[in-house]
Parts: sequence; C-alpha cells; structure tokens
Amino acid sequence: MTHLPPEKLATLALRPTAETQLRAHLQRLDAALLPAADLEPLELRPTGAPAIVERPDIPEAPLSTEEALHNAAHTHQGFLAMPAALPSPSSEPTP
Amino acid sequence: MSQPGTFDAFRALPDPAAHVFETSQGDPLGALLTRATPGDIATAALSAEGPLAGLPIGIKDNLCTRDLPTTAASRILEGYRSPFDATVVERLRAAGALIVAKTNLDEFAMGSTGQHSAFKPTLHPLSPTHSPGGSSSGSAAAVAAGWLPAALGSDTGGSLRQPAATCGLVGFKPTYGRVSRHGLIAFASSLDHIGWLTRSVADAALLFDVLAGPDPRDPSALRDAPLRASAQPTPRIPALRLGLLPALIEDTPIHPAISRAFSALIEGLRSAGATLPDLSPAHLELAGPTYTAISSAEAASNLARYEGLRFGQRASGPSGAPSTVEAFATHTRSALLGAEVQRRLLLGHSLLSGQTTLANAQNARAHIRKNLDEALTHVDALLTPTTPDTAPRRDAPDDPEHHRDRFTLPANLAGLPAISLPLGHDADGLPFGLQLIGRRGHDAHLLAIARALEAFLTTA
Repeated sequence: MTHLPPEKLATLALRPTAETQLRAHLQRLDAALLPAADLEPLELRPTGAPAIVERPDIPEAPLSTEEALHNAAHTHQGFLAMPAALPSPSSEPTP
Repeated sequence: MSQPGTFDAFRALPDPAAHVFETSQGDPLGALLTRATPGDIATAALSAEGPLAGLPIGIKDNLCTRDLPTTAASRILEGYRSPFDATVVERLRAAGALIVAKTNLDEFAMGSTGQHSAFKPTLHPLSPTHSPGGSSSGSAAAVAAGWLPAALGSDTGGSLRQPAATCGLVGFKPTYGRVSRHGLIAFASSLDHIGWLTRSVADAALLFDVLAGPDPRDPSALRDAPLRASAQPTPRIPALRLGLLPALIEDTPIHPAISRAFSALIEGLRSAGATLPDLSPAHLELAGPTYTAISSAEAASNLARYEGLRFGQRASGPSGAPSTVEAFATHTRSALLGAEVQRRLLLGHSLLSGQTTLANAQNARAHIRKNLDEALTHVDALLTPTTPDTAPRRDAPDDPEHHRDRFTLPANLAGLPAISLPLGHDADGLPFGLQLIGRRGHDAHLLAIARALEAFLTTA
C-alpha cells in the first residue's frame, strides 16, 4: 500500500485538505491493481522501437523583453526582481 | 433557423467568421474563454489560402496560441500569452483556417464534465441543466451549437470522444505520436493526444490530412509520413470486420436507449453482411484503475513546475512574507489550483512516493496494449458504445474512478486511434455515440471505416 507520511506531504507544495479521502482512494487503487502483480512482467515499449530523444528544453529564440515581462508573475517587477519576493536569510525571524 | 454544421455548410455562408461572432455573442454556453477581434480575423481572412481557407476554428485553451492568451482554464496561468503557436495551430493557419476563439475546458483537462474550469462552467447546447461532457467541453458545445464547424481539443482518457458522443458530434483521437503535441500544455504525457470535433467524418479526415505528420519539435511524434485520410476509398459494409467486446460492455450498467441502439446497430450491420465477432482481450477491467494511477502520477510530475516563481501566476501573499520557498509555493498552488486538480496531484504524488501500485498499473497497461494489438489482428476495428450514459446533469457527483470513461480509456492506454460517431438520442433528446478503435498507425483506414458507418447510419 502506498503511504505518504505527513512530513512528506508538506513538501509537495499542496495543502493536504482531504487526507482521509486520499487514503481511501489509494487503498481502492491498490486493491484494484493487485491482479496486475501476478501478470507476467511486460515492457510497454515494443522491442526495437526507436528511443525517444529529448529535445533540449530551451526556447528556439530568446523571448523579447516585452514577452518576458508580459508573462512574469508580476508584470511590474519582471523576472529579475522576483527573488525580492522572498525574504533574505537575514530577515528570517529567529526562533 | 437551423445552424450550419459541416465545412461545406460554413463555406456556403457569405462570411463564416462573422457568423461565429454573431451567434456566440455573450457566450450563453460558457464555451469560449477568449475570442479574437473581428478586425484581426477580417485581416487574416484576406490572405487565407489552402484547404481550410476562411473556415473559423476553435482551439481548446490548453493549446498555445501566440495571439490569444492560453490558460488551460486555470487561475495559475491566467493572462499567460505564449510566444509561439502550437504546431497544430501553426498548421491550421498555414492551411487557411481562422483561429477565432479559445474554448473552455476542465482545468488542465482534468475532468469529464466541463464544470471544473476555474473561470466558468460549460452548458450543454440542448439542455442548460446538463454538462456537454469534457474535458473538451467548450469545443464540443461551440461546435454542437453551430457556432463553429470544428474545434481542436485534447484527449487523455476520452476528453474528445466522450463530449462528442454526448453532444452528437464526430470526435477523433489519432494514434499516439501521429499528431504533434508541441505547444500542448501537458497533463499526462504518455496518454495525452490532440484531436478534433467536427460534424462529419469527411471534415475530420480533412483535418487529419492537414495536421498529422512528423514534427522535429515533438520528440514523441512518429517519424513516418501518414497516409492521406481523404484519399482512402470508403469500404463496403459487407467487407467490414468489426470486433465486439461483450465482456467490457456486459460488465457495465448502460443507459437503456444506448443499449437498444447499439444492439440494433449490430443487428443492422450483420444483416448488411458485415462480420462482427466477439473478442475478449484480457485485463480490460483493469483499464480504469490503471488510467487513474498513471494519469495522476504523470500530472503530479508535469504540474510541479507551476509554483509561481518560475512558472505561473503568483498568489498575493498571506499576511507576512512566506519564510521558505516551499511555503511560498504551497500558498500559490493552494490558492490558484482548483480542488479537482489538487486532488489528482496529491494522489499522483502519493503514488510516485510508493513502489507497487504504480508498477502494477504500468504492467497492466503493457498487457492491455499487447492484448488490444493482438485483438486488432483479427478485425479492422473494435466497436463499442462511446459512453455508458448520456450527458450527465451539471450537478451530478464527480466520477473519480472514471466509470463514465470506461469505454474510451483503453485506446489512450494503448495509444490506438479512436473515433466517436453520433448513434442516437434518448427520450429527452440527449445524444449518444458509438466508438470505433482502429489499428495502431492505421488512422486513415479508421476514418474510412467511420465514413462507411456514418453513411450506413444515415441511410438505415
């Protein structure tokens, strides 16, 4: 059974609002897929199929400043200003 | 006055694009998220040349367009403007089509009702209390209402064929890799397909000829050139061999009107000389949980990028600055992703953290693919109803186990081409459809078989 401990859930950047529901759904999935554990192991990719080669994940042409600013989370700041949204280590409250 | 439907009917209008703007005024169905301006479209129409010249086409809002925002119906992408067109959009423009609107969907294509858009729900054109189906809800509603002759969508577990059936349209999903997905906002990469909704199989075939083919920008695209679907001869009914899947169908509660119409279709086809053997590819009963596990896990991976720092909008903060990047991202994702998306992401993250469930799902998928491929060596296509029921009411409970998609999921898991055709209506006038699943890579043949069945149903 797949089980994610609460401390792991906290790293998912999502608030676990319905943990009971989630656990129940996982249990149902786990049970429903148990018969597949007894099947002969098979690879999805057919033998001899060409490998998928990842294209480098870079834009073909750099974005213009205007395009980059349009899609920045905060248009008035732009990408370069983004780190300022987070506090610097020195401003972290001390326990 | 009846609305135009097919490409030919739209071509016969004095100004097909103006028709869209007039009929969709105010968007009473919640089908459109953005419309182009009539001025921009009039300018584009002046230079439009090619097989789709002057035809207005809608684009599901999870496909990138450089001149209209692309949101995937999510607050986290609100206002996003792509610097490039998806390959399919680029090919439509090159063929003369006019990109008039971005259509509504369930957020990130996660849903089957059109009620999970972050912006507005989509209504069924024939009944405002019903959903048009989803996730390509806006594309289906706009074509069914006669606003558009065709709209592109995506199909991860039935998101084109299911709304096609419940809106009385043709919905086609090609072989995995046959149509480039460059510019599609990913939900579950091994299951996502781009396809389209039209009024006729001939229109679907024309779109296939325009859109299918290799694309170096999509590493999962097939590298060989496809056969032209429009050039395929229509087979005669007595020459057809269509496999039935009684175990899958008998195991499912089916709307009585669908059951009656499907039985009558089988009887009619047999009387006309077609061969319809019963086939029983093993393990199709595992398709539902297999799809749930794989799609959730892949969604969790694909959507991890939207944390408001590098990708996506940023939620205005709670009081006080967040103390860590995790807290910052948690706040943004919790505020800007919808409940259905969060539910699936949590499920997916949990599965990715485990070992056995996802591995079992992957093994089940490999068996389903192998068994369907083997079944299709005996017949030209498989024949099923598209959905077990007609359009759901808008207030119907969600379907987290994907019962509504049980006939459409296997083609996504196996990457096979599939098409839904209108089959009939229930007593309330709500449509339903039949599904054909074809051999891998035989998209043009599947469309030819579909054309034969469409003609058979029209004359029967």
